[in-house]
Amino acid sequence: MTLPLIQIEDLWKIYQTGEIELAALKGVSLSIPHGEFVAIMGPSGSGKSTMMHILGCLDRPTRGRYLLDGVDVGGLGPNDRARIRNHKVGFVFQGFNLLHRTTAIENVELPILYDGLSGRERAAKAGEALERVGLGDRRYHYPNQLSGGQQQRVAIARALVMRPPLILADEPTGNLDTRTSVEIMALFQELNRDGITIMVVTHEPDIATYAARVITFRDGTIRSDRSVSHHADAKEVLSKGLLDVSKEAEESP
Amino acid sequence: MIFKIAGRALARNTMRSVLTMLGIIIGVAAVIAMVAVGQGAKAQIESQIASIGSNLLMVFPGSTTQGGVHAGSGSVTTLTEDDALAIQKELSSVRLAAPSLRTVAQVVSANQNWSTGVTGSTPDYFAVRDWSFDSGGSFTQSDYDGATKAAVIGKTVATNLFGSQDPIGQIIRIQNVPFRVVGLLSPKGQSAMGQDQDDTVIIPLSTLQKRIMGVTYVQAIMISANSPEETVAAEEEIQRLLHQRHHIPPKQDDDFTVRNMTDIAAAAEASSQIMTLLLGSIASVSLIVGGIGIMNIMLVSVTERTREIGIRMAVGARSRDILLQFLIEAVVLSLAGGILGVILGVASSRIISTFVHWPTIISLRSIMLASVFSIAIGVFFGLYPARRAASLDPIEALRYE
Repeated sequence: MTLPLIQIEDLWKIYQTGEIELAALKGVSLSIPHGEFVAIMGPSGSGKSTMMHILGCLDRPTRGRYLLDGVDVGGLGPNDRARIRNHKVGFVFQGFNLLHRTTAIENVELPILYDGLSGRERAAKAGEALERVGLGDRRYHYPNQLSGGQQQRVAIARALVMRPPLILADEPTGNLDTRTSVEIMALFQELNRDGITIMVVTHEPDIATYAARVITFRDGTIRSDRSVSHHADAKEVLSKGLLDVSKEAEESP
Repeated sequence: MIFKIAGRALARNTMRSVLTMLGIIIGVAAVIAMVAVGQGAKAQIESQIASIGSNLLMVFPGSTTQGGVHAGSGSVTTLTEDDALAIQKELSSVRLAAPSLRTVAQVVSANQNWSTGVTGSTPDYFAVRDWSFDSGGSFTQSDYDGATKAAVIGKTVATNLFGSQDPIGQIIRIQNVPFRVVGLLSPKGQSAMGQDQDDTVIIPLSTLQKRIMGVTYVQAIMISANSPEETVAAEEEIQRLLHQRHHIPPKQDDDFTVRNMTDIAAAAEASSQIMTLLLGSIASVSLIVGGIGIMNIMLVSVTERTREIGIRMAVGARSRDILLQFLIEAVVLSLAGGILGVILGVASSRIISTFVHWPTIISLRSIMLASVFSIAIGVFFGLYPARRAASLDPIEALRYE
């Protein structure tokens, strides 16, 4: 696979508020091949969130080129970008962002709904995705009946139900305790082994250790970009009890 | 599926949805009930007018002026039976003409008495007024020619004089003159002016003129034109003929007036039509107010669900999908309100006719119109909030707390 999944050349994002121009991204270039596990780090205001929004086709760059899976998505219209979000990108958020008063399976079905599949196919695919994140027996639970970790798993199931090549996770462990965070990272690593490219934005250096590549942003530019040859295996950490704060067990729902 | 989403969103806020629908429910119910009342009134007026007779024209004597004093209409006695005969024979647009003379008299049977109006006319009178018989029949032309003492009575008179007995063949006395009852008229009910049309006795004009009143004139000529279209032509022809017969030079006051009852009927119908329209449009205002209620709630809903909109957009919903979702929610609200409103409107129309005794007619057209209108209101008042939802920026929407 010669073509990278993400190819960014001299990307700028400038916000205009009245007279003041604010550059959130200042000429970022980046190439991410298929199957990478990338952690994006950096302080608040470093431009990493803006980067994620552009990568996820929620936002458009002011200048520069962005090729996603070989398609120049920088110049696409809103409907085409919606289609890219539906097919190519799965989002995982810090606050889970599940629809409340809506069952787990219906939450997972949401992206398929906008692809226009029939009800039966939808339920089958959504069920499959829930099995994959280990929540096959929680299909008809509502978000408020699930623990934080379980809610994030539902969100991950929703992100992967369309089998996108890319999952973007914005602080996915920000609302979770350490053990649950590692469990979520284990799940991401598992999905990554199946070939899905994962990009995780995080503040926590601990979480970044599970990534194979760590990109650090500062003031709208990439400050460092390093590959980690021996990154941590979350599953191993869990099974060997390497967590120092192992008392923080996941609360049972 | 998209209806399922809308239904679920509305079910989440049952109380709010019901209250929002209430505006539409009341609006639609009001339109249907008001139009039903209006249509009922119109139908009643129509049937009352039909009971006077079809294609009817009436000729009344005019007023006299003596020394500058107007004596009022009916004070001249120039109208005669021969005028009626001439109208019927000479005018092509006229089917029948019946002269009539009326007095109020005490009518006495074997053991009862009743004061009523006694009308003298020709056997054609019943045809002119579209009046049929419950039993017996009209007095005949020979009764008329011979000034026979035969009488036709109305239902009210029959009930008061004979109770449940068969009046045919009985003898009644009108100012001490004995008459044999030959016919009982079928009931017509109230006239448009509220008079009991069945409180009447009809005898040959000749008999009334000679044996009871001792006069030679008539008080009115009732004329039936060939068709509703010919009433106007008939009116003109009658005027011309009577001018000629009464030797009235041009520019002098007529000694008669011709009234076209079809015109009066049309006027009455038009006024009831206007009333229906008025009632309907007042009720429509409440429907529009209901629509504004929907818009209000949809705007609140869009604001409340900003984050949901952001999530949907993030997973691949296009603006169009969001627009459709909120639009359908508004339409489902207004349509459900419309259906409930139809039920309430029909029910309240029934209640009005049962308890207030107003006639009501529920027309399918007003039901259809109200339903279509309520959908239209849903679309119209739902569009703005839905567009607002669809135009949200996904990033802003996701950040919304």
